[in-house]
Amino acid sequence: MVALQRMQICFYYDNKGFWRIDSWLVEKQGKKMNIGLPSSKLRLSVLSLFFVLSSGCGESDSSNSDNTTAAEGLNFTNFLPESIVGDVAQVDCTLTNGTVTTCYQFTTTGNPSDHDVGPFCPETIYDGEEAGGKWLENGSLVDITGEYITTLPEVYNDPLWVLYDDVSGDVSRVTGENCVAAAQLNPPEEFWFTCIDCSIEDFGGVVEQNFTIPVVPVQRETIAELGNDFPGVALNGVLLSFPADIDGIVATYNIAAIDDCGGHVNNAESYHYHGAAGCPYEVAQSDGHGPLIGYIMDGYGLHSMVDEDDAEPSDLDECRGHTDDERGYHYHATSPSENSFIGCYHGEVVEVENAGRPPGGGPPVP
Amino acid sequence: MIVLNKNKILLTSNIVICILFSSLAQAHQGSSGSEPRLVCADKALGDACDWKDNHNATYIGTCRAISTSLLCVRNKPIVYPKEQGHEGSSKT
Repeated sequence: MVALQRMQICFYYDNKGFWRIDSWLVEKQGKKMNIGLPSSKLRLSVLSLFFVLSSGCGESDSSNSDNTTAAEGLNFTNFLPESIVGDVAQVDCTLTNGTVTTCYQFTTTGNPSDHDVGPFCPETIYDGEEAGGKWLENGSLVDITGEYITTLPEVYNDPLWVLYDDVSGDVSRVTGENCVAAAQLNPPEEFWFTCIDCSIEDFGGVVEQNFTIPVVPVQRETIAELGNDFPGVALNGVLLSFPADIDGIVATYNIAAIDDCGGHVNNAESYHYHGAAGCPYEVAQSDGHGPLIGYIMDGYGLHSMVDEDDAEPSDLDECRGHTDDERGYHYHATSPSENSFIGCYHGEVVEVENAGRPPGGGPPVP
Repeated sequence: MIVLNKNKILLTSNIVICILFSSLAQAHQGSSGSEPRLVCADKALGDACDWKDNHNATYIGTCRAISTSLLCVRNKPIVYPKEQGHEGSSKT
């Protein structure tokens, strides 16, 4: 139904005896497509009209020479059905360039239905990698084993980095009711020197995430920086977050562990990803191209870093996007060790009054 | 004499302690684990950048404004050291 709405066609009869055709979405963007056929010839021209529209929809006398292909834009059939809460609405929205257009407005559960959340921190220094998640160290993604915890003084060249009891071997972890206070930048000093090991339940349960994304992506004249934006949403409904502030986290001798799927939990965004780790739900591409893993806030698709041959594209722009005939413009995620997804916005996003806040609301993110 | 020696010892001890904490602070600041951000610290938005991870793989990109500072975001395939024989590759 969503696809049909994008191709909605309205006819009107002008005062010169001609039936004229407007594509509803095309009209919203200030584009017009006039057929100009006499009404008596309308029946005969339906077939030719079909071919005109199917080949020319979106292509008009607009000054925008970079056209949106039918493949571009958010397609809800790509999401895990259980990740969407309620109905998807189409609302009027204003983009950052002032354009008033139509956006999808929808809510996701924020809780992945396709994989477990955690584990994050090993309980003792004797635990193996299955007991912990991962950490971003010097641009590399490392397994948080019990042994790794014991090496932190060397990792950070600082003897104060002792996050375990040297008698019992227990790792100093924050769990349970302490999570609300501890799982944030600059936590109270009592929570320094700890590995953050918090579940969704420790914050009172899942936090639904709200998104407003253009129905038809609108390419920007010049790229826009991401700043404090949350760049997008995964196909399982989980929020894609901006990079973790590693410097801020280690400044208070904390390990804000992420799980093997690249996510962790905090008070503001609940469970969210800091990298594309390859385990969340994805939509394979028939030509072997990297699978679709989510959508960016400008409506363009986000694909995995590599294709089925483990090869990366070599023609990505500074935003980490490129165009092909099958998918139109789309992005490719970085590796999970790079603490990011894309470099910048290729398309316009919705103007947000409280920039920097999580899509679901809540306090400003430090 | 004793007093003089005591003061000298105290002064020396204070100096040693100060040097010790200074070294610790500098060591902590120098190992923040944020290479993509560090390489753009003295660069401008859009500047070319590159960095190496713990396995000597090279990441090539540009400095982008993400969160509160510039971050080197890679837009070229990761360049792995040849001796590692990594299976990853690039394609157009």
